[in-house]
Amino acid sequence: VAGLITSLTILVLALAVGHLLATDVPPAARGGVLWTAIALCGVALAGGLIVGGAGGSNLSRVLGTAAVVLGALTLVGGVVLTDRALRDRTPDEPGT
Amino acid sequence: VSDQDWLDAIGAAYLVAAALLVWGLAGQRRTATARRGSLIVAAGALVAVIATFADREIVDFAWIIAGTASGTILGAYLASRVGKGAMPRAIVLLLATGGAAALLLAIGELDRGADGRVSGEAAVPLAIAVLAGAVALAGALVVVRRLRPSGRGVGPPPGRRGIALAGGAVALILGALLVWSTQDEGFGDASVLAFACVLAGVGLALGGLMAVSGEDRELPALVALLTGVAGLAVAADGVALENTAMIVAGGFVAAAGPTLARIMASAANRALIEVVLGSGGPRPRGAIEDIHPPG
Repeated sequence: VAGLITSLTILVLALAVGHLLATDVPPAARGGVLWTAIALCGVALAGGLIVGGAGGSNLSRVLGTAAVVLGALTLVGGVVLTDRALRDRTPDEPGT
Repeated sequence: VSDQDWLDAIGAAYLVAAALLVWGLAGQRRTATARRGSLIVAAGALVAVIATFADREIVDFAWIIAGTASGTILGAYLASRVGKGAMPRAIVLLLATGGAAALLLAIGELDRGADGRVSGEAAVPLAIAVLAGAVALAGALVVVRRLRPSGRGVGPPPGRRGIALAGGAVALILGALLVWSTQDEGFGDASVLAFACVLAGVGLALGGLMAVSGEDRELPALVALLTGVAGLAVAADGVALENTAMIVAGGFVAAAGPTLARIMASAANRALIEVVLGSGGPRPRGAIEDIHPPG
């Protein structure tokens, strides 16, 4: 349980920091924050490494590896896309 | 080198990664430093991934190295080739793949043990990750379709609010059944996977329902909200796996998404709850639209 409490403590602090970082962002910079947040979802790659590489059931290795591919795609694709958009100007909010 | 030294080294790397993420995201708050900020965030994520490769739980590297390489090459190639006009659609598509990664990895972790048993501490966050990952995946795919040049939202399906609330209740019950089935007194080994898949199915339906209707000016808020949902899935996976980097990064996104969504919704003259549950049909044009005509 000690591990769980530590994890939840980190999570609560991360939520607070994430909220503050997204508060009062000027409109022109909002799209960039959102695009980077999407890219950051690719950190699921790290979990895929553990599940796919831990030598568990065959299904867990297949799903873990699939998560690795999709996570790397999200992370690298998101970073490249955001950088291309920011090279010219701040990216649009999707849908505008 | 002892196991404890390894754990300490990985923990220290995750600390560096978390610091880089905060620094980078703070830089993104100003347009002048936004590009540098996004690259610092990328560096933080890179540190986290490299440190995870050193995890002692990992015994088999062939598949995950091949997976990382192919995902990286594919992502870099596609993201550098997509046309300027299609970039908003591309980033929402990447939100779908991020949600899918969190979803698949949660189901994989539920199946990792030989007998389908995971501790209750891990089962609850994994159930949350299955549901949230599925919602983000389906919602983002629907938004990608709606962002086609010819794409438009359809009218809200009748009783959308009721369906969404009933679906949420069903998801809660399924989540509880899933957690129960992972425990010793559960329903048997195969039931874990079955409940996980049904829960994912309900999540896909809810995500699709959330995104399919509504007006186009609600789309930015919707995307921000779905981003928060995907971040929640990543953070929940991180809690289950006790992986600090995933908890930190997922937590940032889980909070930043809804915060941005609320701001974007109010910019579209909507309350956030109306973006989620539907506003009950098109609104009469208000004074604000008359002052600032669309376009």
